[in-house]
Amino acid sequence: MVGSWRIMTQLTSIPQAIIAPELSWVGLALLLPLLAAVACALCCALRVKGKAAAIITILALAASFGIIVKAYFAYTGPVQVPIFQWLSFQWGTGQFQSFTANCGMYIDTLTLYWMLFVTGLGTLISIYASEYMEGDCGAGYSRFFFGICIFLFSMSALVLGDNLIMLYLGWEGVGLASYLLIGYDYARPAAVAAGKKAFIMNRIGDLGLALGIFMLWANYGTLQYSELFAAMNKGGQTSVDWELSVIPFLLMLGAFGKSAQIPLFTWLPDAMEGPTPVSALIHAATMVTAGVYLIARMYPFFELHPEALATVAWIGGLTALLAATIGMAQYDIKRVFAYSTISQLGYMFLGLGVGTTFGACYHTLTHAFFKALLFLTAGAIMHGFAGQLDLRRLSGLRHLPGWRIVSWTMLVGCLWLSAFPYTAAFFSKDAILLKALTSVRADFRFLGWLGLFTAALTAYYTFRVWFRVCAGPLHFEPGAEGHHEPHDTHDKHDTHGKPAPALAAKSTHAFHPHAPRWAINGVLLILALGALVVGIPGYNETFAHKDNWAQQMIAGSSAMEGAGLAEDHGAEVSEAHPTVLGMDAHTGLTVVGCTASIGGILVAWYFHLRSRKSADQLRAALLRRWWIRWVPICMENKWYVDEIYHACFRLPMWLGAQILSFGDRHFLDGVMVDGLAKLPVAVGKIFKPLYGGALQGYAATMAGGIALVVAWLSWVWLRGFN
Amino acid sequence: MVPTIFYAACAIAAAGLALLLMQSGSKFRMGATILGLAGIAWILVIVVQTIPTPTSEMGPLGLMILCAFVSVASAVRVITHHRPVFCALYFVLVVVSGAAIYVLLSAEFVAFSLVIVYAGAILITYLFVLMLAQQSPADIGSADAVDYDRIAREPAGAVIAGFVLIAVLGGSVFSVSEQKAESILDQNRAIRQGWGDLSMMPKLLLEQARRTDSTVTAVVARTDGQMIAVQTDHSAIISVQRAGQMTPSDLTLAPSLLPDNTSRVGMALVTRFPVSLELAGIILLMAMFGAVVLARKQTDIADDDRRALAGLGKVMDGNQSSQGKANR
Amino acid sequence: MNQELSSGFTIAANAPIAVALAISALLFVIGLVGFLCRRNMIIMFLCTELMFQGAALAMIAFARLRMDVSGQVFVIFILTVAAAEAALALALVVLLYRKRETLSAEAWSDLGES
Repeated sequence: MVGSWRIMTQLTSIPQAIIAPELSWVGLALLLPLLAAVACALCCALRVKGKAAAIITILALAASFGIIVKAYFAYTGPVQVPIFQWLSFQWGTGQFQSFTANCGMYIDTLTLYWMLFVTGLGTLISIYASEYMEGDCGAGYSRFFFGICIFLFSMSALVLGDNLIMLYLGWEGVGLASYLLIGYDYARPAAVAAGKKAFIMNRIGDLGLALGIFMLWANYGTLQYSELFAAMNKGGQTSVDWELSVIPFLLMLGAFGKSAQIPLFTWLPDAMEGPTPVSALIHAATMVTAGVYLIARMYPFFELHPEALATVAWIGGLTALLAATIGMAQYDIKRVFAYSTISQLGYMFLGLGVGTTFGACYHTLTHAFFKALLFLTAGAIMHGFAGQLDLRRLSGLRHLPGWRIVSWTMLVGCLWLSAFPYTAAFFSKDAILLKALTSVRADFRFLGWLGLFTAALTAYYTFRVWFRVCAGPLHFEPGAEGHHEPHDTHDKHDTHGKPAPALAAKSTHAFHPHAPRWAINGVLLILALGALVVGIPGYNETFAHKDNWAQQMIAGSSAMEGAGLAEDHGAEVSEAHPTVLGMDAHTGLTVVGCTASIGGILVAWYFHLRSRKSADQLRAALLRRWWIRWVPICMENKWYVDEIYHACFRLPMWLGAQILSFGDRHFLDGVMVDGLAKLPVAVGKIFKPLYGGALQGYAATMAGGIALVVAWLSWVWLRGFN
Repeated sequence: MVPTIFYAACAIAAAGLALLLMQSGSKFRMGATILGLAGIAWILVIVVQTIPTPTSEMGPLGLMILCAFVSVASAVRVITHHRPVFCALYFVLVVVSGAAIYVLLSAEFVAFSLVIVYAGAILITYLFVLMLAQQSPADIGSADAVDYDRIAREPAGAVIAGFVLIAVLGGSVFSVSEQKAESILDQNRAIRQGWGDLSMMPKLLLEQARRTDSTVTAVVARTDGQMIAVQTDHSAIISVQRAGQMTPSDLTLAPSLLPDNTSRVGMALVTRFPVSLELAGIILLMAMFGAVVLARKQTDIADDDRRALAGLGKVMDGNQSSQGKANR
Repeated sequence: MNQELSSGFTIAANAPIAVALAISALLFVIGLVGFLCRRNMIIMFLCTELMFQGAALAMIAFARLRMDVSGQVFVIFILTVAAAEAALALALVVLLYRKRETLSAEAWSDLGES
């Protein structure tokens, strides 16, 4: 009841984990995806034609999910479960004279929270993919599921691991899986380039993470979570020592890379080149939240520098806005969703930064469901319309038989994404914005208003997609792909221009959309249901005034500082009397949030359903006025971030490479290698007269050589005597 | 002694030799010869000066130096003379003076075999080949000699290489101020070895023993396994069986009864180096075969002739025979 | 200085042996120089015989120094090898002379580059 939450956290310390080897069966959640990966690799090697790989994967992941559920019900407190000795060195008895990174698990509520939706969504999306990828049976089908299994294994290692080395292993593993799956269709240069881009941009972040881990070891002498948290519990968190204060910034960089935040966000839209289930699972629901997990897990360490969390908040808020503005102007459905993912990740980082780990993690959960749902509906459309993803060429799909489930589940996803009042995302976004708006810091309050504005933009671009694609008169044009190649091919340039003549010439009637079957529809329904279910904690809190389940989960973990349990929360409200627009914070935010969400939807309804022409007119009008025309142009061109990066980093590197290549060719090769090679030739030319082929030349060399050897020997000999 | 003096002597000798080889003109020849001889003389003086010589050895030393001059001078002529036949004859002079030095060094057998084998056999072969290979011109003069005999090939470089070798080697050998090793010239050891050699020749030993005492009937092995005990005064005691005596008794042999050089060399050949001797024989045999094979006249025989030699008939095909002709 | 040397100098313990060694070195080097300078193949082989002479003389001198007949035995082997070499070399020379009608060693420099 007294003081801010910072003081509260000093009173309540992170619960100490107990060592519980009897829980080692949870390790099966780690082992099963790995075994499944091996099995899929065997399927790949044996060129299995059927869906064996999918079945193996689904079974393994479902079993994994079951294990996590069992672990959830068996959970009593934080435990550390050793599995086997992996890296363990000792070269002395002191604190900094040993290094331990064993294969073990650290299970607390945060771990379980994350693992539940990772394995659950993994299972569902595998089921979805088993139908979605069936066109590739016998070709890349097993390879795809191999990638999924590797991803799930790595993600489980990342989340379950009891030390930062395990986390790093998983971190790199998910990066690898992401690379493999983005470049799944390796025959397409765009996919290969996107894979490389994702991998390289993640490397920049991973450098930060690796350095952060080094610094942690250098300062604490251990990388085990339990020992690190114990060290933090002793106090003295805030320090001006740069060695300590640099740690949160390094970890942050890793998180930004993996979670596609400014400045490392440009890889995520390109990652949509991968198959849609991959986009849904890896690039929307799970992998990109690894950054959030990292910060939540290491939350105590972000206290090491006072401005660390503020940086996270600013980056998150700005990313949310930037990505939303770009998403408004994209025509490719998957890209819109990709930018919305970046934007929503920005919200999570905003939440982490302003001090509500609960809000961030709850938003992660809700986002995982509705964004996976949205991507899967987009995938279904793409699957059925031969790769067509341009929202200008699809319309009124809800009128098409066989597409109703897709349309209505997509509506659910859109409502959730736009934080429609009393949906799950409304509660999670509310938690984040409330914390920001009631903060004592002015800049956090500003970020809160920025987040509200972004929420309105989000509602607009989300419903722009739905009104365009699912509502309105029925009209569709098939994509460029052959019907039986449901790859995610779409031409980036094509989406911005007029329909290509060949496409326009295609008769709408000759094309029969390929309606999704039970696997896709079933998964979509389950996910829609899941999106409803994850709202339950929010309803409980708001209407039944019970404890929020997610909040409890977060409060029992290392991220407890920002969980904001009831009394803590109440303390702050009662002291600071935060108000939003003169009302009580809760009420005010509900009003403002509803206004933003519904306002955005109404604008979208006007421009994209009621009078679609006016959207084009508005765009033309904006383009006509010189003082405002940069806004649509920049938004359509993603604020030229790729181009700026190209000019700032790639071009200098390219130039440097050219210079080095020139130096290599002309200096290293020309002077050093060839020059050195010429030296013996030149020396040989000096002695060439001796070897004219005449016998005496050879004899002279021999005699001279002997004379020299004898001279040297006798000199040595004489020196020995004198 | 400072090796610099030795180096200077070598340089003078080298300069003389180089001038002689250059053939730049007869006006230099006398000066060059004097220069070369002076250099060689200086080298010999340094060498002799280095070693303290007892007066008893002055005579052999004088002869030795005489032979040295003859030997080196004729060796120089071997390499400087324009006419190969004269070179070969000068080489005979080198061999003969060398044999004289061998005799002075008490290697009589080798000296004579050198004269016989080298001067007698090898050099004659050389002369034969020389005469076979080139016609001797009527008058003797350097102008008539062929170019490759008249003009030396890069004499300066060759002389430098050679004399650097001799300068550093000789300089180090003849200018050492002190050497720790003890004298190897151990007369007692040499005589003991001579007696040892004699013990391996029982017949000769008996003969020598009878020279001292005619009543000796047999040489008997002594109980301690040593037939000859060499005493410090260089005499040897052997065990002999005298006529009319039941038990063997000792007899002392004077050093003058030691075997001569030839028998010692022969003894060493058959007792210490028998395998080398056999190998030398094999080498000589192989050399003979090789010489025969190499020097045989090589003629190309056409296929038809070869078939005829082998007792086969001619190939009837016209093409074949024409090819055979073409080959021929 | 001589006194000093006489105390432990062994390599040429008396003057005749030292002179003989000097002559052997000179003969060897003169043979070497001759081999390098002369172009007549026969003379070149003669020069190798000269070098053999030098080596053999050194053998004899050392045999005398050590009062051991092994050196002399080796000279006999040298004689053997020299004879064999002379036989083969002269046969070769005859062969070569037949091919090119000259005794110049430079007629047989095909192995060289230029």
